[in-house]
Amino acid sequence: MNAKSGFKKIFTDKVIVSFIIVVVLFIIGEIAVPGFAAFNHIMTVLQTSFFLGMLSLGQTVVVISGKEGIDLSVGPMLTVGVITSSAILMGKDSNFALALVVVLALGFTLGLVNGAGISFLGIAPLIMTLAWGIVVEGSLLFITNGFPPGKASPLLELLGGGSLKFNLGSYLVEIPWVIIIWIVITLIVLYVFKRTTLGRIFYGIGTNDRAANLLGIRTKQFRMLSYGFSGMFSAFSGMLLLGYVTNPNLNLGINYGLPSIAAIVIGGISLAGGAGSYLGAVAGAIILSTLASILVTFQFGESGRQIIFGFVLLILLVLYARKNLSRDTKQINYFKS
Amino acid sequence: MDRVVKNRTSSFIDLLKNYSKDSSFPAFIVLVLLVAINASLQPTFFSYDSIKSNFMTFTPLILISMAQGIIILSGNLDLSVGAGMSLLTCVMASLLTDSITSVILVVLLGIAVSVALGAFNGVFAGHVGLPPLISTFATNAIFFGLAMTIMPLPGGYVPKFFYRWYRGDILKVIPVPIFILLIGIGVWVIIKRTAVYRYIYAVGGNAEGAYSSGIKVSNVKLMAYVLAGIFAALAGICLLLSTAIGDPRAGLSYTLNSVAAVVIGGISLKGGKGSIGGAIVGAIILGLLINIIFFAQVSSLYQGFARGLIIVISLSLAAIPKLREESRKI
Repeated sequence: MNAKSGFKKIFTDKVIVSFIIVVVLFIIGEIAVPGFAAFNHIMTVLQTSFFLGMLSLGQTVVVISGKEGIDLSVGPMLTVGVITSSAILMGKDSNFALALVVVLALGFTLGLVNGAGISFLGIAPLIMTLAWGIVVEGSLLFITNGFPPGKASPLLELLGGGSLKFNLGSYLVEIPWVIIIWIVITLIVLYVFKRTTLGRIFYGIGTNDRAANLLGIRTKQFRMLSYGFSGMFSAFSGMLLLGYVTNPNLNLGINYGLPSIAAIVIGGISLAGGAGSYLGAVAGAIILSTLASILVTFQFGESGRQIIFGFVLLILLVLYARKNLSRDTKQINYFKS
Repeated sequence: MDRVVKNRTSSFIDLLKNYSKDSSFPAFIVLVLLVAINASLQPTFFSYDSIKSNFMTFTPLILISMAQGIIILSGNLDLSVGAGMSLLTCVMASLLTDSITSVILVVLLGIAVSVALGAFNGVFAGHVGLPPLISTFATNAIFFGLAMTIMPLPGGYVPKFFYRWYRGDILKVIPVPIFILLIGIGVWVIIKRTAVYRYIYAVGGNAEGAYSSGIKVSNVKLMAYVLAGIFAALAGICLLLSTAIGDPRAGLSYTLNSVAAVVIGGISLKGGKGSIGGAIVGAIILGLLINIIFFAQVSSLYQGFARGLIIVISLSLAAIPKLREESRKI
């Protein structure tokens, strides 16, 4: 990265642009429906974007680790979190710690299976995660017979769906707990990626696998680990989603896979690996959720929503998801944006 | 390329030896095994009627896998093929009437629409330079939305003589589904003789190299999507005829199945490696697998599970030659 003047940098930094788009979307919403950009409504929209944001975190780790890494199994992994936590909690707070540990461990282990297939059997990530996702989803159906047991406990409901309330003067401020959790996780993740060896290894194997290997990094093992993390974050997202919806449902994870990839691409993370920041993915997740929220407020039918969503996504991608393409040579394959 | 070099003196065994190095060879072995399993589960498997009814359901998948195969060979991907097929069935079912002229005009229109959808994808992947994984996910939403606009619920009209034709034979010997498939293969044979065929492999294998040797990479990518549009049109027509109804959700499962079929058939997702023959073999494999799940009377609750497991297993089989190669390297 060469040094750019401050003003120009604002419009070339994809993370900043993403957050500008978030603001623009809220202004559009406010013009269409007064009250859309009220503080509490903004918090509600951010609350719903948390779940996509957690999936995008897993996706970010996998994509940054390179070698065409991608995880299409985040949706089924989210369902794993939902079903496991509800079956363990059974509505009781006393099981909370156990549920959290089991959900994280199970998500991590199931993610590692993806990583093993990709690193050691050489199966393409796109296909491996897709097929493994189908297997996991089918197993859940098999185990639960279609009727998942249990429900969220009061503590999980508070964390997933409740807010921290306090009075600021005469105004009652409500900040959803998931947003606080999200901010904490984001800070930790940014620290890990920027300042620790682990973070640098992920960027390193994503930028140049062979060079990293020659430096003595076990690239295959670390890439496998990235899929483990992805499964873990997805399952964690599912556990909090259970708190948000209270009753478990096998269909909660459907339609999350590709949006999580869209979110990170919008946030400026290159699908070629080795570059980008989770902050961009956060912005991407908020953009997609805000967009969905606006489309619901406008009361388009399902068909209209789909068409507009598709076009807006294309426009966002055209605006800045591609690299500065000066020539055809930059277009190498479908993983390289 | 992967073509088997034929030598006048080469015997059948040499041919087989050559083919064993082909990227679609593992898939071919799996196919032979599956045919054996199917034949033992279903004694009438090789009968004329059974072959015909099998191909009635396989043909749309085979054709759409050929379309996906061309796109993947060029180093791209298309996640909108399923929604495109659904849109096609909705467009055609909403326009068809009882006259022969309407059938011909609507079929031509369907092909034009499908090619246009391909071109739309191709411009974004080729000229604008978006990652196809996400850009075709976006167009998938657009196509699905359009199909829902035309036909919120399954419906429309397909003339009786038209969908009965699909269940009949040409010259009393060739079942129509196989005939349509042969048309598709014929189109591919023609494409193979053109320069575009070599350009697709060149761009998929090494886009930078292709660019340096003067190939217009973005145009080739666009061409790949447009050519795939022709096969997608044939697939959409077959889907419409086999269900005799326009349905905005009819094609949804074909997106992932086509990608899986292509990969099972030995085409590399990185592009430039593999053959369309492999895509055909992969699609038949997937069709037979679904058949086995059906004949083993797996309840619908577990069919997804069984299918996912089988895809993982067949992919692991396909990974074996690659591992062998790698161990040789070291």
